[in-house]
Amino acid sequence: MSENMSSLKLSAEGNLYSWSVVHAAPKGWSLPFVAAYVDLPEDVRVFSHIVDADPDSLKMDMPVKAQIATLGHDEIGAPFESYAFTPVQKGDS
Amino acid sequence: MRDVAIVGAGMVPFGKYPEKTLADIAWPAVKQAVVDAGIKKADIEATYCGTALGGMMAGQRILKKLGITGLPIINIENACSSSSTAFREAWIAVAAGVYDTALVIGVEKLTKFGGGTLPLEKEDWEVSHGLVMPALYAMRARRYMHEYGLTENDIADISVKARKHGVWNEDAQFRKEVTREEVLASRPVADPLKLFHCCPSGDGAAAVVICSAEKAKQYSATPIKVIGSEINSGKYMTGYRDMTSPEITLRGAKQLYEEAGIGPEDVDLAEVHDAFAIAELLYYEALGFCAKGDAAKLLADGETSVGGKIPVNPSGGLLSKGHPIGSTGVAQIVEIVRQLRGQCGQRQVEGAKVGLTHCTGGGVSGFDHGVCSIHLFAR
Repeated sequence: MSENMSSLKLSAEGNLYSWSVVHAAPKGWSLPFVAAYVDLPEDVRVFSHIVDADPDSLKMDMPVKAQIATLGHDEIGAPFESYAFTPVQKGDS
Repeated sequence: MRDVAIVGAGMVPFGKYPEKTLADIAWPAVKQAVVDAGIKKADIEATYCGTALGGMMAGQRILKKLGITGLPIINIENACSSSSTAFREAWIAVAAGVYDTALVIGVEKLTKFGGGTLPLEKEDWEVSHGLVMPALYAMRARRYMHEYGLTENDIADISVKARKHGVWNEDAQFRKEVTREEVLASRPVADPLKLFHCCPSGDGAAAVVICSAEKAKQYSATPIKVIGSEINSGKYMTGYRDMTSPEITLRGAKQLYEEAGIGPEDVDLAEVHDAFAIAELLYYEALGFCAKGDAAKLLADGETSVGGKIPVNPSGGLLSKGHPIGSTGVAQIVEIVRQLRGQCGQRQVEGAKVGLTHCTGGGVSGFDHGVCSIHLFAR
């Protein structure tokens, strides 16, 4: 129950646990987008979007890697940037 | 703890009432329950009102319309389980002897949001990154399809069954059958889920009157006994979680069956939280109606339709009856009361003696669901 928090550096690569092409969401999100859960090796599951990929090319448990992307826009139209994932291409390391 | 029974039940047809206030949507349901119980207003000792998004003092706003005031009124928010939680709190109070009678209300008016997905709490990390409820269930569906060979047709057939049952329920929001082809051709919401795989947005209210079992006979010739009441919160996990296995429902069902001293084979019908079609299949397994991986077969064999071994959602469920979220828990209980009394006409489960309600609430990162409440009833 300590109040002392510490940072944990997570791997940038993980595996795609599941995903969905989302066509209905509140204003601000660019539709459709691919929502996904990605499992990282540190036993952390993160939610974000899959970007720069054809949804039909996605496979269960495939390796994906993190990158920064614009995921949507806030109430005044400013871009919302955060981490997202994209499939690891052959030759990536 | 002493035995508790339901002696009155009422609800308004779920639908879209944008021109009505929350209180005006709800009071006719309360009146119906009070009249059904034949209880004098002055004999209602306390009220528990569940609403997720109905705003402050919903219970007071509703009950002043009926002149039921001056008593303890407790308003409860617990997402989609708001009124199943309210029911449990009322049950605890009556079972403990604090009150002899209590009124439970579930109410919601979702048309005030103008449609679309349910508004979730933006300070939640996943919500801040675009999580919406259909996407969460869609990801469960995709994983289950991958691991157990479930097909899009199997998921669509849940909607077909729900709509078929809804035709027979005059309180249902949708009363028209759909075909598998129509479900699959409806517009995509969160792939693989289409519009007809999703519960509609809408408004509604439901109410029940409960009292101690010893007093029940003075109000009702057919009191419905509460034989088990359970509530849990989800277990917070930051890492891997099997999304094909709803842990909170599994855990809750096990506790409840032990408490009631019966098993899933003793349940004659169930109203479960089918907010999205995939969910009902997962709950067949979690509630013990079939083995893991066998849900689609149970459905295909007709066992969960009216006339089958364990009819699930004879009311039409959330998919057809509708899901004004805070009202759902009590509305499920109203259906079980009517079924156990034999009042359900074409959708009647013949000879039903034991019924189960199952209501979850979610939308918070790190939980399978934030809350799940399950109840068992018997005549």
